[in-house]
Amino acid sequence: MDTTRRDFLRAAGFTVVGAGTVVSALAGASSEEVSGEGGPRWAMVVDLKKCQKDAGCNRCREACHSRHNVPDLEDPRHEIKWIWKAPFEHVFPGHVGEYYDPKLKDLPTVVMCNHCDNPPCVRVCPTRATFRRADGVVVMDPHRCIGCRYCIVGCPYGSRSFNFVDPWPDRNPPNKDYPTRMRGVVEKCTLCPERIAAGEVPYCVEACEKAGIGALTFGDIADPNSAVRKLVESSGRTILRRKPELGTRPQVYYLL
Amino acid sequence: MNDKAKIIAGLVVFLALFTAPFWINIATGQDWSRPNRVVEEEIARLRQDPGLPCALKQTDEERAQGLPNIEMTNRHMALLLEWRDEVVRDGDRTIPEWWQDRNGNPIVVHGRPLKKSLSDGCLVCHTKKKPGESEDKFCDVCHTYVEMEPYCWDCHVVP
Amino acid sequence: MLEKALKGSPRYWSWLAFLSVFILLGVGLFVFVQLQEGLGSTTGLQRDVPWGFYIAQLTFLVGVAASAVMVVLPYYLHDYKAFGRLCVLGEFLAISALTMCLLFVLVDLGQPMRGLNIFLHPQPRSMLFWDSVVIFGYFFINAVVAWVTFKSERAGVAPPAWIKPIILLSIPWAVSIHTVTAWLYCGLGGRPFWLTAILAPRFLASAFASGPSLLILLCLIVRRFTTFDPGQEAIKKLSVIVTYAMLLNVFFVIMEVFTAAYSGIPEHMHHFKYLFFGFEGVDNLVPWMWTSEFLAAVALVILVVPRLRHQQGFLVAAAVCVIASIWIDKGMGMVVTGFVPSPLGTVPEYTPAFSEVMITVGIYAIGALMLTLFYKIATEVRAERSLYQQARTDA
Repeated sequence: MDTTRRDFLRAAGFTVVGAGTVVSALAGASSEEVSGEGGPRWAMVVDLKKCQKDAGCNRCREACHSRHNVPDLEDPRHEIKWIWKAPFEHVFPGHVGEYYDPKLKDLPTVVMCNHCDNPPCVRVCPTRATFRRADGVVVMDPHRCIGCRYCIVGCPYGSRSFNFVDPWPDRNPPNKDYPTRMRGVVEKCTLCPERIAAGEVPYCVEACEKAGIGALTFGDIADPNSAVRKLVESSGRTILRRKPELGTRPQVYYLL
Repeated sequence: MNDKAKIIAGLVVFLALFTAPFWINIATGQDWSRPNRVVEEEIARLRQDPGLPCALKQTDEERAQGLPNIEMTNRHMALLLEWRDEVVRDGDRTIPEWWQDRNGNPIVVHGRPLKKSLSDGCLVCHTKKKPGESEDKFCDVCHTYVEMEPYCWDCHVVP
Repeated sequence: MLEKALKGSPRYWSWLAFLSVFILLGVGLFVFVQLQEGLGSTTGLQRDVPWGFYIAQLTFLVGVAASAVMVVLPYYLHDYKAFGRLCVLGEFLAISALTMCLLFVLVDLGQPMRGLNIFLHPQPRSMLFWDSVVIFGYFFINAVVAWVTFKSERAGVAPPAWIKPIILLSIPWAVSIHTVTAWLYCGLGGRPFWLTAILAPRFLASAFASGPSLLILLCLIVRRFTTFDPGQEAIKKLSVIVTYAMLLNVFFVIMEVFTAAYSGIPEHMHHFKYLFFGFEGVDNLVPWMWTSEFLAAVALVILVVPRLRHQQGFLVAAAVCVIASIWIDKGMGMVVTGFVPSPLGTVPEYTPAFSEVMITVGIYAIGALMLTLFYKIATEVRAERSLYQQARTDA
């Protein structure tokens, strides 16, 4: 088969376009690993020793869910939760051995969106309805969400919930100062960007502090003098993060 | 051609159906002037409210320094979309100049500082009927008139 | 040419009416129930099982759509003349399958009215974006190719030269649509059941088994109800393709089971345990999976023995078994199992709701309707042409 100049140029053009697409897709896949220079990097530290003192405590969940109009639905299959407690053996699978203290297996452990540095949910969202800000917050834009639930599929931690039904059919949520979400979109812990913008800590942290427990600490982990940085760097306690082997670099640190 | 009667009859029926929106509205007595009246009533009501700061009681000439009414009618959706993307996606909550008071601070209404927000901004003053209420308020009148209900209200509840 | 779809026997019209009943029911349920109330009341989906029956159909049907390449490739690249008259049928099957795929995505979205956001705000790192692009692209390629080649055939001339590169493009594109669909699943660290390099090859093998099987059945139906005969050699060749593809598919499944079972890693093992034996009391897929394996075994026995494969009755049975087995295995068996157990250790039980099933049936009916209309037109045009050619040779 004769290759004319035109055929060659056409083939070359397609190769460049194809290679460019592949390269940009791959480059896109790694660009979020470079964290924002300067600027704060928000992180959360959970002190499990303090948290376990009151096993039935749910103040963080109540504060968050009531302020953010997270509905309490009848059907558990459609449950929406932003922050809640799950058994330790499920939060850290494989970390509980046969001869460990049996109480450790079921120890209620606070879980929420980890606001990963390398979030798989952001990578798979087809519309960029969920995206990572330079300060580390993984934002959920419910206006753009098409409800495909790929982010739920991609999250290794089960942090996200989908609105299978209308969450507030009577349009009467508890907190009229904060919008609700509509059915058909995904929602999750937002790390309270409206509170961060006002220089305050998220509602869950505030509720835990007010109750005198202080198990949740929030702050800028890039700041060498912040409380979270000191806890993570020099507290001397064992630190766990959820499923670190997946490379998501979660920003919720658990102190054992 | 024996079909002439059928064709004419068909044309008449078609024209009747095609113009139906117009004569149905006339027949049911729609009040065409209501939207303008409600806007004027709203402005009058706001001007009399003792809790409103001076900035919002300005005259039409003074208000022309900011965003005039007609532009707001035309642009409010575009403005809201701009604010939405800036606040939610860019995290930019800085209040635009025309939304600030004379000293550059957020306008405070009945103790609430107005934010760059629909529920926490526009809706603090401009009323909208709540679910269960039957009387159309400010936002509803125009929207009912044009039969266009934006789905913003599915999430953004009226404060 | 299209007017051929408007004239037919009473049997033709009753078949269309039968399909229309299910189409209306499915569309009605979607528009008046699912769009009004959301996915909660109309599907069995739940917080821990975000994808279910609808996405299972999408996954299966993308395979069927991709399988058109199994007919196009031998004919256009290797001059295998026996497939010449089958290509158009394969392409029409692809178009119907792709339409069904897109409809399944539409009914699965929480906010279908925002569906165009995928193209308005593209995210090139998301495989769902690329899946939409390649599926739409393959749809248009097949539509153009089928239209042009068939029009040329009807006019009795060779197709124009510019269609050839598009046909050649459809070959790697077909492979790509199913690879990208596999990439939806196999790049997710949080779902260890899917996190396997062999997922894309598995998808392709099962596609090339189930698609040509369906094509065989369609050829036999066409031969029975119209005057068009695709040719015994073409059907025989298709059955050989199905045989090798099914062998490869079963081999891949065994590879997956071995890797999970031998390594014993709980994260991988638990999903297979759920599939074949039940996990922590939840075992709703177990009878389906064993049925699927049994059907695969029956199909392979028939297909591997030439004397059985060449008999039409056995071939039909094998084709049905292949399609059913793969539909279970690649559909619910693959999609739902990825979620059971969930990342937080819960073991959800998912069964499709009545509405979900009826909307699915409605979409399949739409695909069947499209296929019926396409094949009616195609076979009648061909019948006309052969009569015309007969008349010319007689004259």
